[in-house]
Amino acid sequence: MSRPNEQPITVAIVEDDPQVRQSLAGILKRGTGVLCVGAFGSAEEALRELPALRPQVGLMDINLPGMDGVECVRKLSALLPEMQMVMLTVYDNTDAIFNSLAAGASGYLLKPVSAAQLLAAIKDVYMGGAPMTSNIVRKVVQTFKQPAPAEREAENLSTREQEVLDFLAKGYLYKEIADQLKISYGTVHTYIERIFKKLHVRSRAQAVAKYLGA
Amino acid sequence: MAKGAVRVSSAAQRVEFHFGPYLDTSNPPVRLRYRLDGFDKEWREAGGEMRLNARFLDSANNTVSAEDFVARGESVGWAGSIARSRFDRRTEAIKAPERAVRMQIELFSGGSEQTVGVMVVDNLTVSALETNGQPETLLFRLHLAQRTVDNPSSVPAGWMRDGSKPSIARALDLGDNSQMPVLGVVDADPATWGAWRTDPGAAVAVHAGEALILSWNEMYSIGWGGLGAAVYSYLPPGQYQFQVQALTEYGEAVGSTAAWTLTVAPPFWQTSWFRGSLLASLVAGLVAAVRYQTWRKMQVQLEALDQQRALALERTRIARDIHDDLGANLTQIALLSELAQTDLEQPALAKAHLAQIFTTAGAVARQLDEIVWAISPANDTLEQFAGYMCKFAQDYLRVAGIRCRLEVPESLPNYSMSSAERHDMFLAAKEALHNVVKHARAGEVWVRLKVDEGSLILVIEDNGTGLRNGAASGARGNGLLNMRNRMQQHAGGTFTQSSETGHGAVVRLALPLKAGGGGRVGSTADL
Repeated sequence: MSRPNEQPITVAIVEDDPQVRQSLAGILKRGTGVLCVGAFGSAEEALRELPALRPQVGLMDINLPGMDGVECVRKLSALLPEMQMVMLTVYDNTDAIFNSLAAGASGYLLKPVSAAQLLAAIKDVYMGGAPMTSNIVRKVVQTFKQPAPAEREAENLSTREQEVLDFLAKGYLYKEIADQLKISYGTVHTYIERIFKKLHVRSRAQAVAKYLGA
Repeated sequence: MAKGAVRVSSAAQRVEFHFGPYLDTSNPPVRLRYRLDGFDKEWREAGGEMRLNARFLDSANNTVSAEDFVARGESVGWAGSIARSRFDRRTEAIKAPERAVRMQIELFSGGSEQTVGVMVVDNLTVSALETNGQPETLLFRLHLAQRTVDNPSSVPAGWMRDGSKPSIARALDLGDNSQMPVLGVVDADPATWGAWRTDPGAAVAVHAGEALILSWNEMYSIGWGGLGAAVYSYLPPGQYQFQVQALTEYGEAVGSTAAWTLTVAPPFWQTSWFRGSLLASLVAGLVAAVRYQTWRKMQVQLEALDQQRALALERTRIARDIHDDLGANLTQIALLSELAQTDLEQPALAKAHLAQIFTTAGAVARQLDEIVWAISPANDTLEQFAGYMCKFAQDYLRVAGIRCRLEVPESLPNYSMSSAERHDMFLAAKEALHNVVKHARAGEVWVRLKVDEGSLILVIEDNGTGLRNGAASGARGNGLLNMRNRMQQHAGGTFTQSSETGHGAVVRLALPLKAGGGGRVGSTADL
């Protein structure tokens, strides 16, 4: 897929291990179509500097000292709603990954990650891709099981979106869903994007409700 | 005299002793005293009283009124006999009533029928109290003429004897060479009485309304001669002896003592056998408690040992798995690095090696992930297992180009799975998927997970070529054995494989589950 403009995608790194941080920066430096605009060792540092830098994509380690990655994502999606975040994690911890996705992340990668994988993911997420492996799907399904109150009807999934989610739960790949529903691959992607956006909204609402003690 | 013994229980409320003189002898005892040895500190007498009586008469010698001054027991100065004792002075005040013109004095030996004893009176004076501050006026003084000493039965002037046995009234010699006799009553017969009385003619003249003071010296020993009863209530448990002793009329002990032993049984809780058995049972109870404690401690220790052993077994198993898979991969990485170094002159080859190092490193990371997932106590719910299982199946089958179809209920009941259970279940399923990818030539695989009557059921079904003749040999045979073993490690775990000709194979893994979250005791720190 070609991009509308030829500007490199601006990327920021938030990773506390200095060696990994260096390697990631190295991959970005050598890759084409991407530009590293900052590398930070903690969530607090990132929250201070990123609003000024306004990168398009962020690579965020889930396990950070002090404030963790999930919390940082939550704050950044409020500060920089246009920024797409890819979580990096050593362990395939469904809960943490789901929480970061619900908080506003757009994708995740398991370390160790190859240069190719990393660059592909950055571009993919920039294009609006979202990962929906079955364990994540399960949690999404469970989140949407409770209908939203009437005034927030928009948070509920549309019929089509529900269909897509059901297929995902059954283990269908995006490609297979496209075949089943007789729609294009890109459309499936769009639906999933929408599902994710509603997930973000809903999880934010839940977080607020929780905060208010509802 | 009688001797005997009696035993009563502690519930006895009162004990009565009835006693009396044995009259069928020539010399029956005249006076008795008793005591309950062990309870009474002193000898007691059943009664008896004598009186000094002042009677007021009118002009016609009719009695207007009378006052009794009673003597009971022994006077303070009494010392066993008249000769040895000393007098105590007693003073009483009385008022002459209306119409009284004279006062008669009487010494009376029988306050009650069975009184025995002796009372002696001397130096009796009657005085009138002046109201105007003047000293008393002596009206009368007991006076006995000297000559009456020789004959105790003679009558002193102004006095007369009375009673059923007048000889009771006597004029006595004190033995102090004063040669002044004194008046006394000596009653040695419980059945009779005697008295001294002033002659009417010698009575004291009084005026009505006069305040009079009577004063006299007295000594006495008065007791009881007939049947007596002693009552004791609520005696404490113990051994007692009821003693009765005969006395002379003067109160001196004579003859031997009659005694009855009384045993008051202690209430059962005070008996030594009860206390003994109580102590014994307490000791036994203590011993039992201590032994139980020891047993409990041992049980706890045994349980701890059991758990340790189970953990140790898990450790060995996981260590073996780690060694098998990870070890192989790490060796592979080392080898490839060396190869890359030697093949540096051939960049394409070196590149291929490095690429493979990368892949292998990735595989190692996945394997570590699996192990950490398997042993981490945070992942011990059924829900966690289902999520992990589905993701793995999907990834694995996608890489192999096989369609993956999942059938898992949206919500699963809250069961817990131990590390070992998760580990074995996962590896068995992985083995099954591996077989499908390698041998089944399938285009589609269904992974069905459900909970049926407390057991986790995992079914892996493919639409491939199925099993040949139901038999499995070689590598595939080993894999089957592995799967069966892994499932049978756990109580009630089963592995079955079946296929219908023309259809693919169905692998069914079943494992009974325990309710509730929490899993088995253990943490990553233990392992």
